Amino acid sequence: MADVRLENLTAVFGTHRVFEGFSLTIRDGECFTLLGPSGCGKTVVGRMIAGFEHPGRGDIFIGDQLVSSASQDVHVPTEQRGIGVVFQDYAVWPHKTVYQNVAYPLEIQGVDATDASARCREGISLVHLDGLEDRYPSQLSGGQQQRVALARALVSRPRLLLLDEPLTNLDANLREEMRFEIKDLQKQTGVTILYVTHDQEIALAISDRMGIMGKDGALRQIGTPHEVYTHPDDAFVFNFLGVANFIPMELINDAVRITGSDVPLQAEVSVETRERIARGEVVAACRPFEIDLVRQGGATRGIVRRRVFLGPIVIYFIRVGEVEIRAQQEAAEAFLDGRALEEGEACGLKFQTLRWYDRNSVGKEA
Amino acid sequence: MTFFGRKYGIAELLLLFSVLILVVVVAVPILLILWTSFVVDGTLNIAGIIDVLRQPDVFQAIVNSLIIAAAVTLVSTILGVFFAWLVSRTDLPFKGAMKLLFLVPFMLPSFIGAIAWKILLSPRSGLINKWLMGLFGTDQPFFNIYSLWGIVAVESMYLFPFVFIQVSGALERMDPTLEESARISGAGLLTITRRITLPLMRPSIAAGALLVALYSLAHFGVPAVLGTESGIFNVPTLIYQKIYASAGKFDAIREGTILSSLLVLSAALILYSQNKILTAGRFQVIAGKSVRPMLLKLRGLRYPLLILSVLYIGVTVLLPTVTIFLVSMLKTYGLSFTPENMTWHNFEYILFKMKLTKDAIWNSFYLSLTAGLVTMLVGTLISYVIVKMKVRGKFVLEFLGLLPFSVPGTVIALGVILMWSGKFGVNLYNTAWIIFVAYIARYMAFALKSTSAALEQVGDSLEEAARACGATHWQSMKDIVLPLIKPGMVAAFFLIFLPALRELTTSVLLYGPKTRTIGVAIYALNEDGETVLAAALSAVALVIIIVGQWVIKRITGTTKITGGG
Repeated sequence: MADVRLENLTAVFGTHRVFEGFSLTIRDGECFTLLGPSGCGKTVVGRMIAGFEHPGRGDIFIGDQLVSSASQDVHVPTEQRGIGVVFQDYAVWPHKTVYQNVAYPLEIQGVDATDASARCREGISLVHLDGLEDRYPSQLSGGQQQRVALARALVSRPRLLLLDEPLTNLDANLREEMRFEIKDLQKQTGVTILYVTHDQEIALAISDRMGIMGKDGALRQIGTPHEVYTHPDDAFVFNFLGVANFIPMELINDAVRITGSDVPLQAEVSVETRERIARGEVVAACRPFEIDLVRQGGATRGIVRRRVFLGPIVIYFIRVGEVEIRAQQEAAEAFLDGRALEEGEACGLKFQTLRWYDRNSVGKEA
Repeated sequence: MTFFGRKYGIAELLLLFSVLILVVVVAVPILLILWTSFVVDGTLNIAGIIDVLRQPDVFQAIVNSLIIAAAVTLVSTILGVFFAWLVSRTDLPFKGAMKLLFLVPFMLPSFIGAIAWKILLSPRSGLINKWLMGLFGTDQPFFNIYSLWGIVAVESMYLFPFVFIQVSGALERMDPTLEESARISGAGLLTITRRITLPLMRPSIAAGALLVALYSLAHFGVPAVLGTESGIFNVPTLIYQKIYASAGKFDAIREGTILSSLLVLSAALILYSQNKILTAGRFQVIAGKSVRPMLLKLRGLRYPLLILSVLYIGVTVLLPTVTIFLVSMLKTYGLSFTPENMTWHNFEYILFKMKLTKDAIWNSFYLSLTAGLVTMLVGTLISYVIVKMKVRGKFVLEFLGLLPFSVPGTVIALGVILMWSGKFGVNLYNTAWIIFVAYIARYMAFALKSTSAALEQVGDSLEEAARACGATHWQSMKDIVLPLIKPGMVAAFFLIFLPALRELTTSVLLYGPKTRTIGVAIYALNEDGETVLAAALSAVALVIIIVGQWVIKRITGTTKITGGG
């Protein structure tokens, strides 16, 4: 097992600078998720750690070993890095059986036959594929193929397991099941995991810590899933982790109002924030479930423009002043209590929490 | 490995090696041809070129080439489009079988076909001519195959599959909603075919037609068999004639290089326009998935059109093949096909007794085998660098890899003569090696096409997964890539081995006293009036080809690469 240190990495393809000055430490034995929108360069980070790409600048350490360094002209080939990789497209070899796929790393290492056979069986049962040893990949489902890839990556007991969007090609149920299994595997084996994905749900569910990358390739925030979710550092992170309302505000007669609304907002707003609202620097942000909807009362009033029933919840698009705000109710309760609103109906909104983010950062990143 | 203070990896070395092979085998010979024709004593030789082109026989050959190519292209395109439409867009009975049958002319050597048609339609002794003259009691032959139109007819029979393949492929992949929306708008099927389908097929038709033009311009076999007799030459046969008549004098070779330069330039022009048409035509017409298009109901015409198609195949494929086999068993040419005139003796003679044919079979066999193996292996290496490797300077290789596709066999032969007859320290003239080198250049295109297609199906992650499992670059190639592309490599080998086995155009310019190939032997026997022996050797070649095609089908039909899982 080992930690991984990335120091000042720069990736350049042709004239396109994917990221620069990228630094990150993945701790020994943790499951770290690199989360970001497509095209942000998160996969390139993974491929550099694996040794498939060379950094234009910067150093990569796995444990104490310097594996990549542009300045010192070090490039340890992939096969000597002691890592396991699982790809989005499984990359299970079609001409080898399940057993042969899993056995290949041991064969390369020259592990003796009885030992190898025992470790293979162990690896295969770790991913619940017992009995399918002699099948060819074409006879397996997508989920089973990905399990083969997992077993193959783990059988050589790597220092680091790299998972690049391994669940993206699976259907929703299987995805959920597999993410628990990956988590269990990590607990059983204690391997350090770098999980690369654009799916925030998986990232929140699976990570010990996670890092969110912006489209510009910069790391926006690093923390535990709970920290990152409850205290997003900026509008981009807030928006990327879930459905977000960004509500422009104005300050009129020393009262904070939603832009275009005629009544002041009933919420505590600090003096400093008031000043920044006055200068037009910030917008308010909240999630749909952080708004309570009431038929009567509520300082902020709006009109339901659209109601969408999604099963467990009902979502509303509510017009307040010049702004459309998304809010939601638990469907069962709302319909039972008669609190559900009709389209065209007026309602009151109570904001449980409001976060304030730099106005300029919103439009660009969202 | 370190040179000049820089580190070079395996990738760079492989690139260098591949570039070197292509340069030596393909690029330098072509450059030598251009250089020899354009430069004399260090100065540009424009006046000399014009002198050569103004010679009456050269001028006539160019005109003939153009007429033949234009007519063959026209006839092949009409045949190809019509039959392609018939098998992919109508309810013609037995379509699957018909489709395969229309491809058969592709695998038959056209010069053997030309010999068959000579037997059938030569003005005085042609079987059909004699039969018709007897029937109508005239001494006027029904058709003289020794004519421009005879050449055009025979070439068209063997080249129309180029159009057929392009157009039927495109018709099958065409997005049916394009036709359906026209139908919803109220257009009838015939209107749709005329106004929607055919215009959409135009790029494929043009691409196929240009391919026919490319082959016809550079075609040697049919005009050599049918034209030489009555003094009709096209550019390749004139090149052969000049070099053959001069016994290898340099002046003749220079004239040959000037004519070859013409072929190279026209080939380049044709390939360039084909590329433009194909890229311009690659709009939304073609759906990637297989689709079920609407079929035109032929109604009363179903069986008449089936009979027409069967008749066409019968006349163009079956009749010449049967003729070859029947003639090959005659005791003497000119006898009628009755059991008492037939014998197996001819086969015994050419296979076991006659030195010329025995040598030819052996030469062709080992030349094709070795050239096939070497070309396939080198082609795999080059394709691997082009498809899989990230290495600077790869574009040089990509460009060089395109060259073999565009160089006619005659040109390759001349280039190889210039390169390997001692001028650069190695003299292979009159040895089997010169034919071997020429075959590599001639068939490199097939190897590149087949192996790069196979390699493109092997996802990059399959190899990367092997590296992550601890395999070195070589181990991952050996354990993962090679097993996965093996069917493609085997196919590449046969795609070289089979055509090389009956190759004529290149070897006819390169053979020496001891290095005749099957193609050269058939050609020589036919020239010498040994029609029966020529037919017998042709029959042997046909049997080998048919067996070989069957083997290819077995191998590529049963093994499939399923890609990244």
